[in-house]
Amino acid sequence: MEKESILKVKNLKKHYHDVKAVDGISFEVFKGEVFTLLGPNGAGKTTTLEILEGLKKHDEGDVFLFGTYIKNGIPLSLKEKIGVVLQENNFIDHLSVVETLKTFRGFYSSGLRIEEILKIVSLEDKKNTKVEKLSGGQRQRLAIGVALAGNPDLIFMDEPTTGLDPQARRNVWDMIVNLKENGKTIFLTTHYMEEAEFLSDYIYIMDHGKIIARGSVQELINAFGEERIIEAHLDVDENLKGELKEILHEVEFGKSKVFLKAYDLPKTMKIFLDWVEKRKVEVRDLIVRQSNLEDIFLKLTGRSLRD
Amino acid sequence: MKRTFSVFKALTTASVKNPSALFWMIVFPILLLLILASVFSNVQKSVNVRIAIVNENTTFRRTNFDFASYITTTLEKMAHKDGKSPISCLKSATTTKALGIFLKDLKDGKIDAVMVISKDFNSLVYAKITKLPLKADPIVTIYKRRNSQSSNIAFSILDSVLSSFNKKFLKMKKEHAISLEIKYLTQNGKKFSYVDFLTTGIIVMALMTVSLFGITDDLLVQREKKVLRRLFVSPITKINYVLGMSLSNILLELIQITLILITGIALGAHLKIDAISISFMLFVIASTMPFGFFVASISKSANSGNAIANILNFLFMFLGGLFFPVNNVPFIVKIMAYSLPTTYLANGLRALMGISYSTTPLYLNIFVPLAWAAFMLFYSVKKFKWEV
Repeated sequence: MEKESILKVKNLKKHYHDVKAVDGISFEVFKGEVFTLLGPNGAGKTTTLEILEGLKKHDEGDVFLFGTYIKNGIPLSLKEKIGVVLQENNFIDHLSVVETLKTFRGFYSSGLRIEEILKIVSLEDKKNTKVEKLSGGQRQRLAIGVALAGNPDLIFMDEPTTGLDPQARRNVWDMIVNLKENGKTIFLTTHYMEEAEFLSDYIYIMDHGKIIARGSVQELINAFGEERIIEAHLDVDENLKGELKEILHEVEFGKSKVFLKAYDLPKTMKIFLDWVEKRKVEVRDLIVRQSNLEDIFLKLTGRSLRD
Repeated sequence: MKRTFSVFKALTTASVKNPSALFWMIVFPILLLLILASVFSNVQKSVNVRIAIVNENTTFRRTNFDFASYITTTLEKMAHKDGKSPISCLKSATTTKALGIFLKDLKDGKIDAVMVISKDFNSLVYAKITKLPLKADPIVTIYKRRNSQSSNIAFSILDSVLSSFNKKFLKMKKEHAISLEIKYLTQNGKKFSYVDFLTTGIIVMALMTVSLFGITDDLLVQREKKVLRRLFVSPITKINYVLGMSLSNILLELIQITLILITGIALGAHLKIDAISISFMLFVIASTMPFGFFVASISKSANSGNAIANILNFLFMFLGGLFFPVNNVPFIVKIMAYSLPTTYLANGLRALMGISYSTTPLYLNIFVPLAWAAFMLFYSVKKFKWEV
């Protein structure tokens, strides 16, 4: 069955004076998938998203939303089909959760009932709490609830878990998974590779306004992350670090941690363990793992996603 | 319409649930009205009365027995411009025609009392002193306005002058000397009342305050907190937001007007509330609203917006003729006062609510605020930035 195109972008460009915030990117998002733009801060993800949400105008390129060509803002009839979770979500002070949801529900000609939304975002027990009294995680759940008010087909989420604690982040992930299971299309931006790995059907890695890689998580790993990573806690001085680098070449040191790239795992492991034995170095928590998106991003750009 | 109503409902609920907004928009104007009315009502009434004398006496003029002249001279001395006299204006005349003019002025509130010395006053006083048979008692008639504090003060002054006359010439107690006839007049239109003056001024102040602070806040704080940005990714337009916000502020302003009028009337204000005066109040609302848009347009942040709104608010409050008349202020201040829209709005409202205190014609009371509003609205539409 042919997939239904929800959003199509061709050669999108946006400049701020001399800075190319978005530099000729193209992609297509299909119904029911979680599409992720992954990249570090300043990569151009938010600018791309703001163009798609109608908050900014693009300089060049074509945007088709639900098959409609978009040039000067998004018409209200299309906004009815879109839900948005901005990076920074603030609402009118002094209103309660339920009043806020009712306000936004009032902007749509049809949509979910308030009780349904409260249940989806698990805010039933906070419905009469003023928005300014909500915790960060609760506020983010409210933002998702507000985005769901019009029962949209497409939901834009700009770094929806930034600044949340692990539990709150996990709650938001579960919510996104549920939305996907209910047939919603989700356009996500994030700089958390775990988030992209956990949620995405399709990932576009973005840096300096350009798409530098794309594919499903597995496709990306297959294409760029064929090696394994040996990771261990290791207390060594600078001399020993230099020595290990001379022996194994592709070695990186973190805070009391060492990362060894292994294209031939048994061989690399043997060399490493022989060196540990010879130098009587204490090793803790030795693990071998497959390359992840963080490693791939590092390989592609020479920088970490969190830089 | 549904979208505009949702904005209206949200902003109104937020205002009603915000104690600070409620205090400054609803409670503060009423407190100010109560405080100013209680402090200044009496002060205003205790000074500066205006008196007219009609000396109709034709007997013993310019003789040693010109008693009428003694009374008029005493009053003229009292009215000497030494800055301390309670009589700010004394008009004298001798004809019945002049009496007609003075009585009209008294009715119109332009003077506070008229004293008339009867035609054969001197001869009758002379007869009384020399104990000759009297065909009638000498009579001094004092005309005053009914229920007028300033008229009562003027009467007291005239009464004290006559008492002094009785003691000096007749050596008799007042009640046995010159007959004092008091005639009351009802003022045309309305007498000047500070509570009336203040109530209308407070209405204009309150409406200006809601516009300056309410609209500025709805635009700048919501812009700064990126609430506007969140709203505009939903299916609403900027027109929906501006209309909803304006309606919310208008509702608050109507509540304000009602409460201020109730308080003013409870304090004794006599105000004409009819379709015309209500229409003018709506005009005040409409013409002050652009001030909020203007402040939001020239301010980069909510803090600077608040500071500018405060400066404008003080300027309008104290120079705009809201609490005190501005026709007797120094020239420079007068120029400033008559440049401000609030002076005209307050004047117009006072004239239409039956308070005979408008120093400017009605067309100016409409045109000047309208010109200010048009300029500010034009500037706001051109310059306001919806995003920071």
